[in-house]
Amino acid sequence: VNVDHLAGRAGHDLRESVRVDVDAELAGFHRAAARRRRTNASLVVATVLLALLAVTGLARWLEPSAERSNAPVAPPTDVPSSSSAGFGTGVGCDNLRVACRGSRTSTIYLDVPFMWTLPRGFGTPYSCELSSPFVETHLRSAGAGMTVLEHVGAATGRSCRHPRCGRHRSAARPRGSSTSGCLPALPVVRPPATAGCRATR
Amino acid sequence: MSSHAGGPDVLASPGDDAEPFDDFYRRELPHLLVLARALVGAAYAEDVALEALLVAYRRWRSIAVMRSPAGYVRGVCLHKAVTVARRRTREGRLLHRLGGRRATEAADDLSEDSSRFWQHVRALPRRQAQVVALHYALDLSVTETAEILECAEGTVRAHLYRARMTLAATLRPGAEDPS
Repeated sequence: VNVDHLAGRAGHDLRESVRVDVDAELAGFHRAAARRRRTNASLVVATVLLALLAVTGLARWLEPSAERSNAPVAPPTDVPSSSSAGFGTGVGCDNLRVACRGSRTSTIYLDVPFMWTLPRGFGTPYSCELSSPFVETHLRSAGAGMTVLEHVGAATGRSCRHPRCGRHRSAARPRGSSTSGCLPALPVVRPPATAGCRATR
Repeated sequence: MSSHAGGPDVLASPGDDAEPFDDFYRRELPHLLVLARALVGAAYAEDVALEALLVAYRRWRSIAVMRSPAGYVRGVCLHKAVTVARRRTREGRLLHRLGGRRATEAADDLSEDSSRFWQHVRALPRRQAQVVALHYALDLSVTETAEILECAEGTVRAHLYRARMTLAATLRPGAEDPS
């Protein structure tokens, strides 16, 4: 077998057999390249979004559980209202309506008792004398906080126990009271049961 | 082809006018198709050639200023052909294991002798097959073949000699078919 001759003929055959419309192929090639570019760009965007989602989820998961569950838990049903049982020690714990349970958790015996875990960064103004109608929690630095009011009464005898009156009272503190300290005990004036509801202004 | 980035593909002087990719594509596509067809057959030739051109398209700014962009892309084509040939071998084994079937070769429009010749070339060791494909299918000289393969001309001649000896043995009448 003359391999050189056979190979030369096979090579010639191969070159002759390739017939291609290069312009049509080129147009197809550019379309395919653009499609590939778009696909790659989409993949990059999707990857970045997934990474962001993963980082966000991880950050949330790593948050301290105290900050994640700063809402009060359901009230214990077995503790009677105004009970003096379960008192702990520490500032504020000698209050008739507060039972300290440790780990910055207290039970506050309002009409419906509830458990309260103090979020990180918050403190209590328990160094002041607490009055039983309210429990107030303030941010240590900014003075912001949350006030829980119970049995809000009218500020003056001209008001009544209608919910509107309470709303008015809770919205406008008495002049001179501090927003970052303790509120003064509210003078509760109970109007006669037969009295009508009048505006406080 | 691990050494595409260096060797003879040194950058030309920066002042050279780079050829537009489209012109390169028009000129080089038929050659790449011939080369790929010699090494992997008609069924995969287009994929191999287009993959090589896609590599060139992505890196055209650096490839265009090389001394021989065509040589570089032909080298890429050889590399892609090796990858496809390996994949074909794996697929063939898998098909054989699954049902005793064999991967069917796409029919090409070559004469029977030529078709048989290239089948035997594909059965050669990788480097010998590449040398035969470049030398006979693309009709390149030993020097050009050596430049693309980044080896000495003597090495190319040695590969050609061994390939011819093997082919002479396997192509003689009554010899076993490589597939």
